[in-house]
Amino acid sequence: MARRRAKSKTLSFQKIQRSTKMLPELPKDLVEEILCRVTATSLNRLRTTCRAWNRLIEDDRRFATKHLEKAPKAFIPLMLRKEYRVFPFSVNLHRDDPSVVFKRGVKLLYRLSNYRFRIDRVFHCDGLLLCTSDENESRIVVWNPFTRETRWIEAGLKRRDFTFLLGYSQVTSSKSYKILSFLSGRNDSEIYDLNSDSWRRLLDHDHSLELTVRYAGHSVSLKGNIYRFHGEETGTKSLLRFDFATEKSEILPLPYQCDSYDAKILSVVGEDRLSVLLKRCRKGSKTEIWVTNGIDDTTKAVSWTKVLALNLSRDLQITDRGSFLLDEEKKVAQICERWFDNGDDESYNSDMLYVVGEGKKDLITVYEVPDIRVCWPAILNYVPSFAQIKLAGGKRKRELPHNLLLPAGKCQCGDYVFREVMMKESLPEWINWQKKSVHVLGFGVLNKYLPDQSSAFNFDPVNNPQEILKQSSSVLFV
Amino acid sequence: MSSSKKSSDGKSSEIEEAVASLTMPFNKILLTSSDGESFEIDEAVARKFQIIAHMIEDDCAGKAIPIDNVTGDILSKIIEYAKKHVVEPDEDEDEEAKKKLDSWDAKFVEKLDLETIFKIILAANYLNFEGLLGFASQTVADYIKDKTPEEVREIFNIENDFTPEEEEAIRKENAWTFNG
Repeated sequence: MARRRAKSKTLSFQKIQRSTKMLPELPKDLVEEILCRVTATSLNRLRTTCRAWNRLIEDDRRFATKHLEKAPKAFIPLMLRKEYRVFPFSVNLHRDDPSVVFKRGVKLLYRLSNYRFRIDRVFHCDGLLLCTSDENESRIVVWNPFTRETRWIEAGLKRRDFTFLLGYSQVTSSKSYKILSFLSGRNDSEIYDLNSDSWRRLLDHDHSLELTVRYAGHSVSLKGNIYRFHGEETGTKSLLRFDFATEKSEILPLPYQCDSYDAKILSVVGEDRLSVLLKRCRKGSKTEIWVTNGIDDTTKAVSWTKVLALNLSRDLQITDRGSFLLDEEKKVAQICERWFDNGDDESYNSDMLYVVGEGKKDLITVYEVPDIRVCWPAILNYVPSFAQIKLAGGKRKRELPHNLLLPAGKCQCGDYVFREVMMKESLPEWINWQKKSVHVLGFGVLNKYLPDQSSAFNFDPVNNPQEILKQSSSVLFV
Repeated sequence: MSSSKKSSDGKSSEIEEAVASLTMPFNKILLTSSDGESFEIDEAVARKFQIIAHMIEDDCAGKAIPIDNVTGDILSKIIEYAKKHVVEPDEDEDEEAKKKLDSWDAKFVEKLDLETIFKIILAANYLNFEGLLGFASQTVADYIKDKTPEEVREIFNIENDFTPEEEEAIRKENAWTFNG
């Protein structure tokens, strides 16, 4: 299929008057050909056209994959701030009054009222955010803030410190989203498949994965593959690419070899290129941003082009823990860093957004951003999509909240006596109050000797629901 | 490209076609629209239409191919596009050529009304001309992306099967999503 897009010139046809019969009627598949080329944000608005369109946009995996491929991509810079919200933002470079404008944010839905999932790291792929926590948490979550779907995944407490990265393997038009889980120095890397909801070991043990640099933040996803800085004994000199289709990794070169860097940060530009920010550990070294050629399945070799070389003062403290976005057209980059002021007695931390570009002064503007850096990366280039993460299966099938899972065989009279009265807002989102439909999940068998029902109910996430359930009163499923 | 209208006398046009097919050089193909217009095109151009490429492969192309589902005016536009796009310039290697082609495409579509574009989509689908189908679909997509659902219903002749409450609920749910 030709990958070009029509320039956005308006058609000069006449205003449509009312005999709608004037336009030939297009069959469903041709209407889909058109719809899959409408940008995600606009298509979302057109959901209310009719039920069939709404279903197509919301439920159809095949359409979502097609849309991901064909629609012009909207790149939306997102900033991750406290309270686990994501905010689209834009930088206004007006010379007299540069500012950063934040638009309305969206929060990760919590499944249960009392429970909070503290997001520490976020990994973006295809409009999906894989969120992991740094707390004693056995679950990870894949979240599509655009469709507001979430998929909670049981990773197990043993994988608590592991790195989790999201990607996909694609066979013709069907994408299979997968999560790679590993830890430096260990050899039990595993892959989780979202379709089959299961974990398994990597087919061949991969030494290269063990050697990747510690910070989970130094990874990006591009066309379903994962790219990370690769650490060797003599320091980081290359990139590692992990391919979910072959489940093998490959080493790729960085722009140049260097023993150590003050800063090295990975990012993605456009749909198919990597970008890296490098600053050597040498006095007077410039901060450079390099971009690769377009990378796709047919690319033989990765080549780098230097896009920016800036003299940024050491005061800016750009380190490995920063994140950046590159605007190629304007040759401007936005770098987000945590800034430590150790000068005075009180140390003062703040988060800074630097907008930099080549010019008389390489630093264009500094913006102090309150309340970020609760999670990493602070900023990323988000591409909204309708990527589907629900468990495949019948339309009515929904994922049960993990804490209410009851293995059927264990259900005996007296064992599961449990009740929770939940406020509307805290119900898992698969009960749609607007549709006022009722899903019957199951029923409980009550023991005639009910314990005291006045004990306060506290919903803690545990791996073993039986323990919690034994302590409480009757089961009520809605 | 030669175009000859069907004469009122059915017989003579048949003879015309027979003569044309005998005297045409090997690598030219004659397409006839549903309303009798004929177009002589190079085989390379005709191959852009997968339906014809398959016929050529299977050796049943003959020299004159009737295109029953497409009228002359639409077929002529499609052929015009196909001729321009016989060789697609590589984006990386020849940026200049690509820009020129993109600019030609934009002008090509600017003059067309929506009805014609819909007909082109239907015809390109029938002929299995992927490049034009994609381009025309993208054109319509760019057009409708700023329209309201009501306007879009008019364009596609769709009935609104939502109740006002349902419509409002969906609209509210999606109101914030990264818009504007």
